[in-house]
Amino acid sequence: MESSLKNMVLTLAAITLISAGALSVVYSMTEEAIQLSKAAKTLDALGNVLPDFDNDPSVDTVTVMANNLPAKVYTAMNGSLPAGYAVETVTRLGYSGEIRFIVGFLPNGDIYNIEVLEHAETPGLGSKIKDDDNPVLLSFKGKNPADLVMKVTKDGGDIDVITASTISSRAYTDAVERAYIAFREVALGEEQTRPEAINFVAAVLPAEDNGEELSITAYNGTHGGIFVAYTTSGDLAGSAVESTTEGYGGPIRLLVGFSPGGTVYDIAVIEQMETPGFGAEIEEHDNPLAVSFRGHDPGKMKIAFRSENGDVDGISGSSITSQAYMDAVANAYREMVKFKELNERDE
Amino acid sequence: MNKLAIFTRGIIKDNPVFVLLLGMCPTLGTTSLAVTGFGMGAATLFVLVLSNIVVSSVKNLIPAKVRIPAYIVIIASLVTILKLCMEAYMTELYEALGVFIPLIVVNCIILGRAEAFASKNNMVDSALDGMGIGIGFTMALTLLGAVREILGTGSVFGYNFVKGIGGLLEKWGANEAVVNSFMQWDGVLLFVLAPGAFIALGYLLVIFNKVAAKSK
Repeated sequence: MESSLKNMVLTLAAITLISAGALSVVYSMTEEAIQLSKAAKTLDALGNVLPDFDNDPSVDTVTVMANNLPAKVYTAMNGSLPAGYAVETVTRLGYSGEIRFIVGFLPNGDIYNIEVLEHAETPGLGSKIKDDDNPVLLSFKGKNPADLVMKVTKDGGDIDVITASTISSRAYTDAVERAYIAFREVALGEEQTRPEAINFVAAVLPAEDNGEELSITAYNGTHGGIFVAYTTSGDLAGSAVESTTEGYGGPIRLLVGFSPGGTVYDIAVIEQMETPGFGAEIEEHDNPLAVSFRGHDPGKMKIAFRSENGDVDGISGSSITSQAYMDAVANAYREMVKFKELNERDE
Repeated sequence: MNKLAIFTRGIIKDNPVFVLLLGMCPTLGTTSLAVTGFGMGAATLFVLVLSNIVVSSVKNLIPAKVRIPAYIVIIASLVTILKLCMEAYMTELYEALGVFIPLIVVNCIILGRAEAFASKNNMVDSALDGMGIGIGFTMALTLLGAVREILGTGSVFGYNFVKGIGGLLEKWGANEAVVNSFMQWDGVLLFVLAPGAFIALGYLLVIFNKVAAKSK
């Protein structure tokens, strides 16, 4: 056919129309089968991680947030008594991205079995998480998370790692921890307790180190609480500002303590989900970020990394975490300044 | 060229992996196990035959200047149809192959055969060509997958024959240390990973071409 503009346009239009039509036909033909196989897969997985049950757990599921990722809880019944609970969780700490698990708990919290639903880990290494006899699974199976330190042995916990697949093993542990949190909330009715910022205030202000008692007043800030502390003699002991930013593995919640003069006295990490050995180093007292701020007035600092001519040292290998931490401290400082100005105006 | 020659050419003389060196991405990516290599080859064979037939049947209706975009639309539609059908009726294989199924679209072999053969020959010949190249591809992938699986895990198609040999030795009362060395052999990890894929492919390339040259 001659390559005239008219011919080219008509041919391409015709081809794409026909292919779109063919695809929609095949899509509707296969839609039901695909849904069925997905449902069958879920039921199959439920059967593998739970003891015998006689209901359809997929009918009434409850989805809760566990450490900021959703977890879906299936309740399996045997007659009128619960036979077990299966929790579908996801972790983002996998070597190659997200890994989805389903963890089966007996009503008393013992782990019955765990199955990997989806993963993209390296064949022959992280993919071993799917093996029935992999050391991580064996560390969990039949045990109650209440009796375990939920970290891999390398990080001081009770969970054995798969050789040469520490990251996948950590991700596995992270997912099971989330599953347990969801289980406790749904099956045991326990409310998830999140650490209260106010408990960290005394730790980030000078008064406690000087042995003085503090009285703390809490206010609402933009990113969390603002806490102003006075000594028993009525002197201003400093202020602490809660600040949350998005880190690598989840939110990072800091409490930045400012001494009355406006310098940073100390910084406490209330919550973080960063990678152990890397971003999680922010929990260390003398991590480079905390050291950069401690004793300094952020208003007189250039809040940027040394590589950009700033005054802040980041944690090597954890640029996302370091950036989030730095931003959180900067936000806390601005909050503190704004709050001070507002209150000075009122006086 | 007679029909049989068209068909067999794709298997030996113009083997897409060992001679034409096309479609390297799925070749290296899906061959950590023999069964996934085979599945990938079969899926590609399916698309290849169909795309050659379709392209050959519309070759006179497509203006020369838009033939490549047109072929790509055809190939992409066929791959999507394959993906939907596999997801619905062959879930396990679908999940094992994962992202490599949609990647069949950009497998050079398919566009290459469409352009080099199907656009210039009749439907029957094109179908035969597709079948031959597809079978050659499947054979190559299965072979590479088997080699990598044997060296990397001691199994082939899921059957751990190294452990099987260990079991036999034990029954025959062999020395415990010898039995243990078979039972506990974990394979050479290198071959499960990408570098091992390249190494294994390199050696197979040499062997294949030497044998092919000798039999001429």
